[in-house]
Amino acid sequence: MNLVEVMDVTLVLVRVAVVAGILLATFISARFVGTILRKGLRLVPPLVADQVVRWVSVFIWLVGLLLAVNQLGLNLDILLLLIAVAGVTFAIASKDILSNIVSKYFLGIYIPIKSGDSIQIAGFSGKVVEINQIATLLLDDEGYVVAVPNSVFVKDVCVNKSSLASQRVTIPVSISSKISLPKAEAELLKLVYKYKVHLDQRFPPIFTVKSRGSSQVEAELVLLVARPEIRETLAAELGSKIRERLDDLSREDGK
Amino acid sequence: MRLALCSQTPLIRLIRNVKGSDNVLDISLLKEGEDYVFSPGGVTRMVYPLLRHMIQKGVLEKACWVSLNPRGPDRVWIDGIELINVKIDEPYLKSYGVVKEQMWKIFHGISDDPPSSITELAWLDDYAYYNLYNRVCSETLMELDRRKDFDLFYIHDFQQIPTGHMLATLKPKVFRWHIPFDEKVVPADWAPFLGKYFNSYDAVVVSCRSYLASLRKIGYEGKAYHVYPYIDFSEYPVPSSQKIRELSDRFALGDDDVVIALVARLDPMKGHDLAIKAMAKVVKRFPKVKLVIVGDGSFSSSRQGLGLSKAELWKQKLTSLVENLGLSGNVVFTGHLSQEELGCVYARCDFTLLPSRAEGFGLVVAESWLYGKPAIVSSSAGIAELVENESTGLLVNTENTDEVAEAMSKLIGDEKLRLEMGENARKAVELCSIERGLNDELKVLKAVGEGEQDEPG
Repeated sequence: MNLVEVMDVTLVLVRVAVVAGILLATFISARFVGTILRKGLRLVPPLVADQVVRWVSVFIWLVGLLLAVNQLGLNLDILLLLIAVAGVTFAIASKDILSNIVSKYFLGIYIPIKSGDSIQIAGFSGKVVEINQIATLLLDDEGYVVAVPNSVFVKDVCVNKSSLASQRVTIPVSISSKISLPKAEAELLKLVYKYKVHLDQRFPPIFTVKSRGSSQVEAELVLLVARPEIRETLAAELGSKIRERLDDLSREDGK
Repeated sequence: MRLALCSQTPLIRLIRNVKGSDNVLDISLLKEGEDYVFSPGGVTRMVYPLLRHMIQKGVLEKACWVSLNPRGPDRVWIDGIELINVKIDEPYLKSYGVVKEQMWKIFHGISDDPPSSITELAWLDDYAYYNLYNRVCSETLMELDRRKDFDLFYIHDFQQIPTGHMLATLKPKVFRWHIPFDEKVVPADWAPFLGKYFNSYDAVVVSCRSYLASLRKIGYEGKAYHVYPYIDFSEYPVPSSQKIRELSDRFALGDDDVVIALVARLDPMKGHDLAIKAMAKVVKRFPKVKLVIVGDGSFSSSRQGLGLSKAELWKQKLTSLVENLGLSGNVVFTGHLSQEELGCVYARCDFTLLPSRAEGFGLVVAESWLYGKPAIVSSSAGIAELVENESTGLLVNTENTDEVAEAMSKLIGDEKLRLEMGENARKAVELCSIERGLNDELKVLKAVGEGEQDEPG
């Protein structure tokens, strides 16, 4: 092997090392930014925070991959064009779906409706029988099922005719599977009891598990505030306290 | 059918430290009375025979029974039934005990100290741990379901009412309410909270017809049934005259004594004090009368259970009352008796007394009837629905001790009446037979399991 060949091999090895370094830095950056974002987004619903973290993470990986590809000496123009076209196509194609999915996270928290409520929206009325990722299903007086896209709830005026709907606060709770669910539930209930004076004491809080994943349990706490005008403040404050308590429990269980 | 059961009280309590392989015990290798005892109380006394009969009848393929047993082994096998003992940490256990005792008092309408409302109770920190126990049960049941694929969940007794709400499954869930459910005690403003729990079940079974109306009033919308509690007659053998003689000698019951049996765990709600006060009036006319009080604490008040001390405190109060009223020669406390000894008490007594201030049902009356003995029964007891006044027993307002004393005197002074009523009682007990109970329970489980719309019972 002559000197030129040795230099070429060395150059390739250096480039591979740089690419590996970029990928490693991307990984660390994605994790670091994710952690910072989770802490910074304490006051927003956890499901929304999860989505934000996920999309920022995707963005960081995309930038990292582009830098890595650039280091390998490949032409980025076509790749960038393809990504841009794919992104625009995806955004156009899924605009309605995405808006429905995002809107779903506001139902129950900022727009107080839940299964069992009788509501009126966009000229339709009925009892809410299901709230899924895309639509809210109503059962009308004639027994027909009306599917209202979730995004309509953000754009249109919704009237909840159920009693107590104005007082109800639903706080979504994500509990890591590393924490004991019974213990976490007990601790969160005790936390809510501290706000007893602000709550309608005829209705003690109800904690309900909504779904179970491999890494976490999705649950909700349903409370009734004594005065409807403090709904938002209470939801934000209690939501923040709940996340702090869960972080503490996570650390305690990790020790 | 594959059945998952859940009750606070475990079927079996170990009375000495027995180690099994991997903390699993096969009860057939142990001896009743020496190694273990059956927990007292109507729930275990009723549910265990039900399961055995269902297995014998071939309708029950598998049964897992989840209970609270902080000092028991993880699992126990008995007659093909798998008992799973749930444990919670000591501080949580204490809080759980506080809440469940208060709940019990509230539903019996005898809460002296606040909180006197379920909705107030549910704001105490202790309630969070009552909730924790129920969550542990529901998690255990769901974990078992993943492995055993049950057909139905059958949850028993008031302590477990949140369990159904926590069980995230579409499989049928049935709840059996064993204690009183009296609309006079359960006000309408508890409806949203209680209704939430009750409505998470596909069906609710109560012990008396009268409780059904109260259930509807708190907003329960699902299927509701009443099934009278029942006993397995084969578990009550006729004792020999020698055994009866031995028991009489042991507790100084003379041949010419009129013996009144009061079989109930030591708890203020059971009204032992009312019976003793009535006795003080009766002995003035009939000095040769003995009141035999049978029973000790419940699972909750036992050292193997929750360790609550109410049975001992109540015994001290009753003993003082007996001494103060000069009834030491007329009142006998036997403590816990074996099934055979209990049979001797029923066989020896002339009639029985159930003076409870409140009582979900009162299976001891059925036991008394089985031995051909009439009963003086509190009109507050659920079984009062089945008592034919002056025929199978006498119904009394037990808070009125004059009325109780009068009823006692009536039976003490008229042997012929006692015997006639005893004969009627032998026929009436069929209403509480395991065969009838099994039939009614199977109708309910079938209706719920298959989603039938009609309501048997």
